[in-house]
Amino acid sequence: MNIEKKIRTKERDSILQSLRAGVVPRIGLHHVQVGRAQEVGNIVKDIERICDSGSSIRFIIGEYGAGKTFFLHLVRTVALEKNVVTAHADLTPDRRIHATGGQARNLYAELMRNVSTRTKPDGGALASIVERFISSAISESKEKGVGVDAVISNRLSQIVEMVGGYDFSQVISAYWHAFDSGNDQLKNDSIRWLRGEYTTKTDARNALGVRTIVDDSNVYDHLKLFSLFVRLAGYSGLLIGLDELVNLYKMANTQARNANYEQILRILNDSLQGISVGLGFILCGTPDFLMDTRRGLFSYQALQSRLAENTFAKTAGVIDQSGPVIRLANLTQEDLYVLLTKMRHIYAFGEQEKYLVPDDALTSFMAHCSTKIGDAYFRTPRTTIRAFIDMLSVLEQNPNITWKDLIGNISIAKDSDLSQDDVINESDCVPTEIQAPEQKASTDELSSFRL
Amino acid sequence: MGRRRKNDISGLGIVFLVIIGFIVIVIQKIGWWLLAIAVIAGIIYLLYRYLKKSTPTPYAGDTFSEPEPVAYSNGNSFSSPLRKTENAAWISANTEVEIQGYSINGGMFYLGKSLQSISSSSPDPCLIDPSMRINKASPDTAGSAMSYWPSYSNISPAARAAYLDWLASGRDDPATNVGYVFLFFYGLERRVLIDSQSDNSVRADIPQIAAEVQRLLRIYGSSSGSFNSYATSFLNFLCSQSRDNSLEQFAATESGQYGELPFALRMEAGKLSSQAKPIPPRLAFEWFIRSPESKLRTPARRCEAEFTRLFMVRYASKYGEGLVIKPNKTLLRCEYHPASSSFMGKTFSNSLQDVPDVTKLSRPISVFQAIADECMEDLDAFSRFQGKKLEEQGNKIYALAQLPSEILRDANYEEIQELISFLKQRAGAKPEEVVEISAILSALGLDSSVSLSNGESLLVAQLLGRLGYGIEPDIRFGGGKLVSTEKAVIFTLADNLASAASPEYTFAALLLSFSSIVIHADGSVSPKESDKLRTHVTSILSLTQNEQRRLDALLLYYCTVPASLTQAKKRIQELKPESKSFILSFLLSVANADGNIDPAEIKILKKIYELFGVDSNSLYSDIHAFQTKGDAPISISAEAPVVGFSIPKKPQKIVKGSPVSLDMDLVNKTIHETQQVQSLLTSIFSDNTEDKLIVPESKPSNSQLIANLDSSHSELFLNICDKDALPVDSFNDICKKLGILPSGAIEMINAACFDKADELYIEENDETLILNNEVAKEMLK
Repeated sequence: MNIEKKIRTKERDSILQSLRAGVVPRIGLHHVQVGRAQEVGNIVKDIERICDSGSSIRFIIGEYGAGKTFFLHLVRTVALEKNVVTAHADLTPDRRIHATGGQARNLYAELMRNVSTRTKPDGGALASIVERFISSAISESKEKGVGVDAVISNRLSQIVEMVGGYDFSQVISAYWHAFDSGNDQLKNDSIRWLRGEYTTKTDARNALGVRTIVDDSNVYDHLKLFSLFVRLAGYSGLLIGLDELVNLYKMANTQARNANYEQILRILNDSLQGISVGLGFILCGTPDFLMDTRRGLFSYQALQSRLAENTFAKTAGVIDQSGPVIRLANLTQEDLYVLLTKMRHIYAFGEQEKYLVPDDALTSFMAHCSTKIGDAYFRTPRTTIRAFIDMLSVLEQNPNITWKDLIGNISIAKDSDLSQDDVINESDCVPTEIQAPEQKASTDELSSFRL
Repeated sequence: MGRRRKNDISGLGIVFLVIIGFIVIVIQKIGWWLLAIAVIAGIIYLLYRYLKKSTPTPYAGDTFSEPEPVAYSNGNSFSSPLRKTENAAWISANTEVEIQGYSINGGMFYLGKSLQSISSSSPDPCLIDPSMRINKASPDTAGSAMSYWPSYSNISPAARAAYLDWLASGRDDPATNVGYVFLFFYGLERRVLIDSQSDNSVRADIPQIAAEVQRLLRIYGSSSGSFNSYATSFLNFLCSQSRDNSLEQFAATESGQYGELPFALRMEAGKLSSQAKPIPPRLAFEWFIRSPESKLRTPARRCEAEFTRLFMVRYASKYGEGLVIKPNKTLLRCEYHPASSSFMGKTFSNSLQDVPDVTKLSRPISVFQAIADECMEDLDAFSRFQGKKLEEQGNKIYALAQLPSEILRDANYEEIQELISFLKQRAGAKPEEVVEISAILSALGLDSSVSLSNGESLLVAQLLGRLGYGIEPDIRFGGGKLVSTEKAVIFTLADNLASAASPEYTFAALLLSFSSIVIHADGSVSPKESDKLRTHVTSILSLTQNEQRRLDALLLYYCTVPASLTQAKKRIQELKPESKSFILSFLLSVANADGNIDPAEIKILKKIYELFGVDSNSLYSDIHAFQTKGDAPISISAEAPVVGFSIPKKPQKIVKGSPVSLDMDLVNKTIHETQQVQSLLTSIFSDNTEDKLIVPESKPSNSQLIANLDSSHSELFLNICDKDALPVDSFNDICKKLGILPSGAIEMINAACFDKADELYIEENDETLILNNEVAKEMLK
């Protein structure tokens, strides 16, 4: 636990505030990451591959509370740091990868709203990206003495050849013209088009003069266009994070479900064959979404064979890290313990001498939580962490109070999400990561096993 | 003693009663004169009768006169010299004589004119008086006129002729009346009991006589109970009398008439006891079966042969060479009541000095009874089969299946021998193979196309078990019945103790059955999978050698024929929840044995989960949990070493003073990994090397270029770098002047700042842009 350097005040405050509010911190995630070195390492390699004009796809499979969303956010942070544009969205019944009733376009719109760059990590970076592209075109035109239009169309020539590329380049030009002419309406319309917010072609034609819009049938094509575009705009690539894929699994209509899986297969094929350039996907889902042979990904034969584990690696007793599936183990109380030490560390600005509580306090605190909440306290650490930070802040402000006075008086509410069976929004579910080699709970069950 | 003795006294009484009755009637009806006549007549009759009795009356017409009877002192001592036999002579066995035209070869009788009875003056019944009349023309072979106490001297001439004829013809015509045999036998009795007392040379004849008696016994013993009884006890007596063992062979081996034990047996037992030698099984059985105290139930009678064998085997297995009986004080005693009327009820008795009569003891019988009870119980089933009518019996093999194993193997049942050779061949096959059940059925002598019922399957399994072979599926161990179209595995058993499954085995079998379903799910079973399964199962459960073999067979069976889910259903319901969850996690490990849980396996597992009444959705969680256990797949055996079926908790280092127990190894591992990931991430987040933006190279211009911003943006930066905050509108204006796009400008400036100072410069806050002076200073350096 010799953490090399001090933690910046800004990061510390951001982390602590987010965690106290029960949401994923936007920055400094790496300070609270516990374990999962291998998984993170794999994803980092993926991101490097995206930067190298490669492609990748990963399925993050884990139970509720295993930290898929946290993991996704961590990956996003890493990607942004590597100058990769990210876009993420939760799938919902209204947002799917493939649909006929506008749900796929909804998903696209959601992704575009959440487009983030390093400078705009909270999303809404679409306009910035477009303008950055145009700005660089402008400066090129200045240097070369060529018209901006010509520079733009020249740069976008690669895109024009692709499905929907012509209209895409038209819209980018329109944006430039809007800027050039100070036509804010046109600028907004262009951004609207790029965000996939037009629902009818007529509206789009009236506003921008283009014949097509982003609709249910071409969402993936547009994502590919966009990934090319961000590279042209000076970024390293695009990482798409889709969460709550369990919503696909929950679709009752087999045909609709299979259509979505077909899209996933298409994405998977493109990624694995290297057809898409600078584009990465991260799909988060629960184990049943993956493995259910009736409704899960495995029900789709083509996906099943592609996602199957590396038999040789398993037989040899190793894990093939290049497989598209990353499995996240559930949290254990050991993980939580380590997380608590990290919280203490962050709270003390990374300085060991400033630690507010000794190690004993951590276990006492955990014991207290376990009596209050039961075993779940380490599986859903959100409330536990919040209570711990509260305790630390009380101790910080009142040096005359000892931790022993506090433990026992802290009240912790049960995480209500636990009982949620429906679509679970995990995006604000807090952290803690693990590489848990053992399922404690199951071992305990077995230990009392008698016939 | 079977021969009724005529009672003269009672005859007389009856006559008196008749007479008195008659007198009473006559007195009333006729008068006193008639009464007087009657009384006189009665007196005369009685007188006549008395006279007739006191002098033996030859048959009518016989004129043979008897010598005067010699007074004989009726003492107990027989050591006195022979009575008057002056005229009679013993014809030895190898002498040939001719009597009234009958040439008699073989002797062994008294021949002469006079031989007095031992205890009366009448001629001895056995004496052949050649002077007596015979009716050679019509010998009375059937002995229709033979009296109950025959005597040569007063049987009819026709009978004498028949007797002589019988003697002459070799004394072996079974049709001959037993009365003649008795006549001959009387002579032997006399020779042995009387003559040998005085004449030592007679003793030498005794073995010969005994042999003759035994021969006769064989011929006539069965037709005459009375002769049988006399001859047997005569032989016993001879035997007890002899000082050496030369006559032992003649001792009776059959029970006496009143249920007493055969003399030979008593003698043998007694001798063994006196020598402190064990009673061999054969003798023990004889003893028991002949003892009047033994209690035998139907099985012992109905399946005698089986009972005998079983008794002896069990006896031998319990007592080895046999039970050693401590000699008791009662000595073996032999009594003989001669058959000849010559002796007039005399009894001869003889105690064997050094042979105790152990058969008088009750303990041996109770020991034997205990064994017998056990045997009879075990033979009950077989006996019931035997008791059924033929058409209700069904196949004999089922009856044989009920026999205890001890007597099954060495028994001479053809069916069994055939079966054994079949089993030997099958169970010995290497590598082991599955056998068509139809082949087994035909080896059993059953119709190979008819499947067996539950009961029949059980019997077959039992039969094989008793022959030292096991079969899987075995209905006793949770298998199904034998269906003619299916397959089975035959294997050798170490012993056949178990006829029901132990809880461990049941559990192991259940594990196997489910596992087989799982490993069959992907269409094939690799030897590796089955090996793994075997080691898994055996490592977690402590099984006996037999159970282990059975399990191997079961595994082989299941490798060919997967278990059916529906069959297992019933057993699942009997399981405890902990067992259920154990099985399920075990199945996961089995499914993962080949390194992969493939969808077909998942499908099956899901069905199994449903069968177990576990939410099938938790399957995915379980698989997930299983697959995320660690870097290397952990085998169940490693984490759950079962000793005697309880799975000990993993030793854990408990953190002091806390009810929460942490595995500190795990904590350290986690910390280690955390450090790894942190250093990885830190290297990313503190990466200050310039990212190469795909920004077209701009030619150096006169104006100052900030970082890697182009000229317009550098100019913009310089324009605002002295400010803390800026309204968005004025920023937009500046941008417009410079001909650049505001959002793009912010993006580019911020990106440049990030690269250089690792922080944002412009932050958008509604209508205002907040500028970070620190960064500006950094940028301007």
